[in-house]
Amino acid sequence: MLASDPVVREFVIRWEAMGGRSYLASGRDDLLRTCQLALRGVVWNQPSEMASDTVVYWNTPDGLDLDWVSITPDGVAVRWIPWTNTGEMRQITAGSILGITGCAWAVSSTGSVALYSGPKTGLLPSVLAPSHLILVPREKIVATVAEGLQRVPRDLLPPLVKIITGPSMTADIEGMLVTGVHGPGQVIAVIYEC
Amino acid sequence: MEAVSLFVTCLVDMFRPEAGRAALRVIERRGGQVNFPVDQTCCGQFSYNAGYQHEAALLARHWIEAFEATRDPIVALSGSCAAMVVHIYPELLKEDIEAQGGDERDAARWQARALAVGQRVRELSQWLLHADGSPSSAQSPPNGDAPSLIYHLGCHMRRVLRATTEAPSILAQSGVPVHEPADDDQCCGFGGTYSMTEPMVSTALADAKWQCIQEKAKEVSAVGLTSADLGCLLHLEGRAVRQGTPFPCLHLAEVLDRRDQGRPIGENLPLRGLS
Amino acid sequence: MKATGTLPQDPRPWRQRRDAALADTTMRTTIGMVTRRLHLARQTVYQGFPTGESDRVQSVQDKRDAIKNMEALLAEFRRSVEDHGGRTYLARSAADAVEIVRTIAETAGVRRVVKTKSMATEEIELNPGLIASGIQVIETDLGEYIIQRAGEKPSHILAPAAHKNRQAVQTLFQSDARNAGMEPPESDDPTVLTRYARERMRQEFLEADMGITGGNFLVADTGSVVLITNEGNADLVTSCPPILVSVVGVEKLLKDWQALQHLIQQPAMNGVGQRLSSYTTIVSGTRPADGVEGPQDWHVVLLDNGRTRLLDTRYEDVLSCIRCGACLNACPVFRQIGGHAYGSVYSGPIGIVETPLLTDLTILPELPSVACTMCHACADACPMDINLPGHIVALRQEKVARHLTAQGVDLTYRWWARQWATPQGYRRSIRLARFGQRFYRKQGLLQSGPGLARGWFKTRTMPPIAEETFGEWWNKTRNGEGHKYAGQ
Repeated sequence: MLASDPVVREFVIRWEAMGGRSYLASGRDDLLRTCQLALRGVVWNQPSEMASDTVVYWNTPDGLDLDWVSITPDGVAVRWIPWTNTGEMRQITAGSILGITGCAWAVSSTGSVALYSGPKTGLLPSVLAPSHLILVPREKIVATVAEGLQRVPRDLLPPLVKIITGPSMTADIEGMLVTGVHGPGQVIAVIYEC
Repeated sequence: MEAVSLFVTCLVDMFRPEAGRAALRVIERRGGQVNFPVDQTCCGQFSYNAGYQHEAALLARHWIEAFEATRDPIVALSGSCAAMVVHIYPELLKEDIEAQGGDERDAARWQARALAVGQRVRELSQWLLHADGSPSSAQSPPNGDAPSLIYHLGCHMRRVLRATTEAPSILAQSGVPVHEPADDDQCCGFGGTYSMTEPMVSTALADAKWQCIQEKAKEVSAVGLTSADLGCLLHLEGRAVRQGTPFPCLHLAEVLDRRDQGRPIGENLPLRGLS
Repeated sequence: MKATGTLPQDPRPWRQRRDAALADTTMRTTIGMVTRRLHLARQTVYQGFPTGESDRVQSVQDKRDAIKNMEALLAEFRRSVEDHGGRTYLARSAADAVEIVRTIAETAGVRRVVKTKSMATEEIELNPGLIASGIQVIETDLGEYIIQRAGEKPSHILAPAAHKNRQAVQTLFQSDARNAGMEPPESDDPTVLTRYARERMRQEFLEADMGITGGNFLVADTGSVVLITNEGNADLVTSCPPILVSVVGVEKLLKDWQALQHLIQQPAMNGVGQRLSSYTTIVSGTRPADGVEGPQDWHVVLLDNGRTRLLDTRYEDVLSCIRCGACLNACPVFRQIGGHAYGSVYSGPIGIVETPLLTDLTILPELPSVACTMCHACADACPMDINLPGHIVALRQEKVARHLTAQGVDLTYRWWARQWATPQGYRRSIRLARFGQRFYRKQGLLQSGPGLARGWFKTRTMPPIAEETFGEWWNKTRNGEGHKYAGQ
């Protein structure tokens, strides 16, 4: 059970301490339902002035080839755009409400997820959209940042490696914490086992 | 009876000899047999911190000679001066002799002497905490609903000597509740001659310290301020007096001596600055 | 190598900088609040996280080793970056570094640059250099964006606008919005102000021709530049523009990926009290031919500017600074005067050591003397165990040796030490002071004094020297008399 798994619990505690949100899902159907729930939250909480209906997602095995269109909540129009390695993806992603990505690994002791840039795994959905949902398979969670970094292929280094620990934040005005300054104000981890 | 050598420090010697006499009584009541090496002057920290290494070394060599007559523990009435002797002297003397073109063996010899004398140095509360026995002449009665004191831990005692708990423990044993103010780890601004060369910054720090002390004093109904370092106390006291808001400032030894005599801590506290 | 560096400096003299700072109550309140919070957060984060401490200890060793091998690591780093399609440059001076970046920009016809916060680029005054060539430079860190609007310099390594309150920021953003043709922020709520900045800078990111970053670490064996931010702007700067230039001090070199594993959490732990910052970005290569993100052209400018001069000196551990800001947050003087009073881009305890060291005491030589009470708080705070108090004292000694101190002050210390180095001289000086103090005494207290002591009496009183010192009392009552209680 994920909920009683100490590694998962540590990850969730740390991730949420940094201001992230998290969901647990067991099995494919549960995962789809959970993502739908998360998506509904994103749509409802979206500030009206940036109303958008676009979701950009990684079309990779991390997404388990999920039929994303099928989880569109009732009464909500969503444009589902799979990430492709094309120039127009920048503006599309910048205008989206949510980016959905997988991860290369995650760290329980810090509540972090790591992404590698690649043709199918663009980093822009993780930074341009106001919300970011990350699919975290249980087996990708390691205990320490050091263990995670050991997994990075040194002989074939990705040009960009990114470790995310919570939402984009700043305390530059009077030391008051504000989220969503440049990157997403909301980061959602869906930890699953299938 | 343990024999000890008393290192009063130049500030106590000149500006608050009563704290020296208080320390003498406190030590003697606990069975210490006090020797006062009469040739002692100043540990040289003022010069050292200001960048006058050779001048500090002159004073350090004199200090060592003054205290080498016995092998007794040396009880210091300042955490900062104790830290100077223990942690700065060995390197200082070695470097100074090298810088003056002296020979290596001489440098090593002075370094060894500094290390040997440094091992004997204890700040007053450190010595008291490990001294056997309680006061013999008078027992500290419970302080009752006694008012408390604010304790200021000097920076060198905290971070160089690393004696952070001894003085509060000793005060607690004497029935004196002490409280540390908010931001207790912030310097009071004394800093030796820094207080003279940069009075404006030094005073800004004193004012910040007083604000924390006064807030705490109000909260816990404290009636005075105590510290194991007279430098900090003179600086803080002098500032409060100049501001027209004096507050009793006592050296640790003076507090312990009062308690040894069974005097409640709040009784006739001296407000030195108002005469 | 081994050339003296140059740093920008505030032309105002120290007294003026200090007095302006002490008079700025808004700044002092905000700086006090921010530094206190960060200082406490740092202490808390180590509790319950033993790996943090063992990694720190290992990192100190790693950094010291890297300093010892700097030349070899530099060569290895350059090879690795160039193997991955990047270009590297060694800038011996600040002017060289600016020239290198300007040439890259001009050659590529760059019009607009987005930048992350970087002390190295502040140090070389890169922005004015680029702006003079007609290039628009946008600072994207929120704090830097604010002070860039105000035409000011950062007041804190981590919180550059810590001296500005929300009202001041709103005013700046209102005029910024007018210039940009945007809706101004409708209130001074930091959330509203931050959202304005997000909207304002978003298009800049997408349209910029070039990104400029600093770098927290350089990994020699993989040729990686590691960037740490909480805002995510380094992510955008490294992902979006086609050209990326990283300007990084040579002291940021680490031997290998394993050293990175030890050190990667330390800046956040010590700077802001988090186990890791929100965003850690590791750049190790260029955009693939079919890619849409990451730099097409990647340049790493390695800055010396006086750093290698410190190798093999007593000060070389200064080169292990990770710019976490922990010493600033711990420093009582910094809390009172804030960053601007230092007059250097590097403020706080590390700044008063590094500024004179990089420039061989040619600029702001007063710093080690005027901005430190010798409280050692910085030594306790520094995660890299840099001997800051030791260096501050050593620099004060250096000033005395080079006659950068006032002659009168030198004479005072010399006379003082020579008097007090004998008991006779000590007693003589006390008698002299007792005689002299009658001229400064008022209502039983000293209210003024001569020479060095004059400073004390500007703001404080002092008790006079006792009628009978402890030593005099002892000689009178105790000497040779055995031990009995006195004065009960």
